[in-house]
Amino acid sequence: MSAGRGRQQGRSSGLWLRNASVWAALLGLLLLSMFLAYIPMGPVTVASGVAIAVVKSTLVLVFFMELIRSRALIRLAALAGLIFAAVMFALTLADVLTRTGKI
Amino acid sequence: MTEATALVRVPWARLERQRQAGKFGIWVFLASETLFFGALLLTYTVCRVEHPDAFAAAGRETNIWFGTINTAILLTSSLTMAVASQAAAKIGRARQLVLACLGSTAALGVAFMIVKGFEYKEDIDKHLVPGAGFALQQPAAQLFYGLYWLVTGVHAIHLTIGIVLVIRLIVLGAARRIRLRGSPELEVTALYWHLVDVVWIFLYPLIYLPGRAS
Repeated sequence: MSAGRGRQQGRSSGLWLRNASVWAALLGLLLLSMFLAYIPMGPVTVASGVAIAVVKSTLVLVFFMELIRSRALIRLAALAGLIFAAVMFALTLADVLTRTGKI
Repeated sequence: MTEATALVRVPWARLERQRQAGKFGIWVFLASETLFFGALLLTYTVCRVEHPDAFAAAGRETNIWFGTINTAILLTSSLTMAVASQAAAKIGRARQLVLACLGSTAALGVAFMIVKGFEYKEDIDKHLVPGAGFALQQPAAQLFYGLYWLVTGVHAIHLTIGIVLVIRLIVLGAARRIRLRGSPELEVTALYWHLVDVVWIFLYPLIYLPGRAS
């Protein structure tokens, strides 16, 4: 009984350790993005904020949402949303970013 | 009745099948949510490309401390939710831990809403609602704040739904009306909660960080 409880406590602390590491990384990235926003680097300043958001959301998707140990079907469903969003962005921005003058 | 049969719902014959169907269903829903918020963020992107100076001026008016504190609160709520979900799935006799983590998640969600309420009040006091008497000179700054109110409002609705779903699990779990250990309902609720967090992760640099360096 006590061996079982010890094993349970071991699993529980392992769970906290793993997830708290991801959480610490997320908070670190949050502070980094806030810090970088105050450094004038032109378009790089904007890109750094978005790039850090992509890294943070990837951490949440992979570890907190457990895509890392999900079946292929689940990963495909997750990917489907991203692919269609990417198509929407690509087609719209292909127009907006290449406009040379007003019609 | 075994633990597995206690969790099985109609029309599924086996718990594992039910779990996979539930997870697949919520991921398809989350994919549709990605497109929904994606369309709003794309609208923001197009407006910002057209009016970079007005968006920088408007972004400077947001309160970066409210935004950063709220981001930290939501990230922490995702930690407690992840521990609740994984403990329920992997550790036996973890009912107290799961309930405590779910309680912390709901409390952090409520804390986010309270901070947001203070922020909205400050925004209204600073006349940052588009329309007559708007505080900023540039007309396109109203586009920024139109999107700000829309996107943060829709996000707050999503978070409120998440808080209700988590409180439902706490009440039913505490009353032993549902079994939290291995519960597919808990897994699905956790996935929804994390997506609301992911949406905010993208809103943070787009709303609070523009114009800080200039």
